[in-house]
Amino acid sequence: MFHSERNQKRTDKLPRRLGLGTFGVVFGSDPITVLMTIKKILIIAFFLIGSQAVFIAPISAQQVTLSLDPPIVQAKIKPGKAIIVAYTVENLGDPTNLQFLIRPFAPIGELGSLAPLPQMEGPVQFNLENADVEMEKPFFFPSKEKKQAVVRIQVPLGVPDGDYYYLVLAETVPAFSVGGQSTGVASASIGAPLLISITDSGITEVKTTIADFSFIPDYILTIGNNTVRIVDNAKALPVTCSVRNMGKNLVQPQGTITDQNGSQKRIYSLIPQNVLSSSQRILKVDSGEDTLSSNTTLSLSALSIGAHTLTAQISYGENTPIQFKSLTFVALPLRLMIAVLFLCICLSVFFLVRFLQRRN
Amino acid sequence: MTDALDNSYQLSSSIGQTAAKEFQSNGYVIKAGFQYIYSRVPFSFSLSNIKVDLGSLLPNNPSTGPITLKVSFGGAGQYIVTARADSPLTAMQGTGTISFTGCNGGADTCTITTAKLWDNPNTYGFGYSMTGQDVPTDFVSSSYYRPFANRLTAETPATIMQSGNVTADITPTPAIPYTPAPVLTGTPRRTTHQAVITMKANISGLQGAGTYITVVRFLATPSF
Repeated sequence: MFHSERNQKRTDKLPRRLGLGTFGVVFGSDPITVLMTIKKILIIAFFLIGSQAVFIAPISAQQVTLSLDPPIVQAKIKPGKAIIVAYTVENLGDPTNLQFLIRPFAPIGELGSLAPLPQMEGPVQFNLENADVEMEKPFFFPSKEKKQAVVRIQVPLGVPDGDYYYLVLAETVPAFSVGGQSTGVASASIGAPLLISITDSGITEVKTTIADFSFIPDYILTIGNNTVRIVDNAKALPVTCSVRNMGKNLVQPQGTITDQNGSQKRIYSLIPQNVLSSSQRILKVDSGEDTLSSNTTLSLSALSIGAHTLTAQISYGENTPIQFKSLTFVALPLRLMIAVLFLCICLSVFFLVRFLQRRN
Repeated sequence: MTDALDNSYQLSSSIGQTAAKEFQSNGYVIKAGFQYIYSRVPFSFSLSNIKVDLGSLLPNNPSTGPITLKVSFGGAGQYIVTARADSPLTAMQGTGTISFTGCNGGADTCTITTAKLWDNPNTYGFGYSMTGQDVPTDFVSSSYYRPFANRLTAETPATIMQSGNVTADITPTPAIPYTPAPVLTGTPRRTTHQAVITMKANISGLQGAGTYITVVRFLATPSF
């Protein structure tokens, strides 16, 4: 009873000390007291909210950002030799567990896609030279740190000449703290292609063909044995050029695609991308635009009216033959011609009707 | 050539006759980076979060969660990102699974390479949708989904982002001679592209209670 009374007195004093009282007391007081009370409430609220803003740390989801350098390595090695390549991986995200792996890959499609194989295979031997990290063994990787994976590549004696393609991978190891919720856990891997050509003599095989050099014309006219391709000069003309590599080593096609119209000549340089052994790839010129369709080599625009000859000239480096392929087409202002034709028809009909009316 | 970033290893960027001499004397030639992009911009890949919390799944009430994927590939020219799940969503205790979606079914049956409409709350499963840059064209809208490729059945990882265009800003050399390699110069664009993958799960009333989980593995690689 005693304690209750004392507690009651304390709780009675507390609001008064703060100047709050009960609502009845506040709103029963004079306007100055009410204003003072509101002011105090606002000050207290400001401090409470302010302290929350200052002392509560923002919560964000754990994110992963990995970078890998160099993005690609190409090596030509004699059997019996070993080389060392250093890859630098950087963690620009939150701390994570990481592991290094190497897997063979195969090229897919004609656009430079690749698919890693699930298991390690092939005659080339890989080892990590790092003292503190082993291949396929996770290690803790703090944020904002760099780690160098020093990869030793050993080609045993007797390995047959040919190409062997691998991916050097840095892979995060998924963490399973799901907290009772159904969850999709993400693992991020970043890879760098490692293209190894094994050759005893240092000579690599170039066995290629221009597999496709084409465009889709708007109209095709066949006059006797001749075919005339007609394109609208107001539209961009997508051209595709692809090279098939039938050899056992990768090639880097170099050269140009030339569009000649009378004395006018426009030359486009091909980017020397790798075409891997037993694969085909659509070549690219530097278009300077991201909107170019993926399966297009270049897009010809602002075509001059008249006959054009489109020529692909491709070589594969020193002492290799140059391959040619040509296409011809006629660029015409088709839209303008259709509009003029339509106008002519309309005028003819108009004058014909008037002529017939006058005659009657 | 000495590596610009790391002085400890000799990396050659020469090709042609010099490379042949080097090969004869050393028994190897190494070229690092893309020869047509004179740059050491590292290739980088980012996931905005490593968990997609699908919450407490309720029957016929689809649950979704996003991850933003970012690829910085200025030094690589082209890139590809693939995804594959280790398994369907699997109960942590027991053997129950939430199988991969077939989307709305019928004409709208999706596959690991073809997204189809999935907006019917009475069709169940686990899948994903893509929006943003460089995503496959079959993701017509955010209601179009695909099932994940399944590692358990050795399915090939599906391409979810790809840039087929080279980002090197190259000045062409006029009148290219064909004997030596053409000299291409230029400054690479620092290019970052991003997309959002939205995972979705929908269960029937017959689905067993439990916590379901799977690992989705994303792989980002420069093209070769």
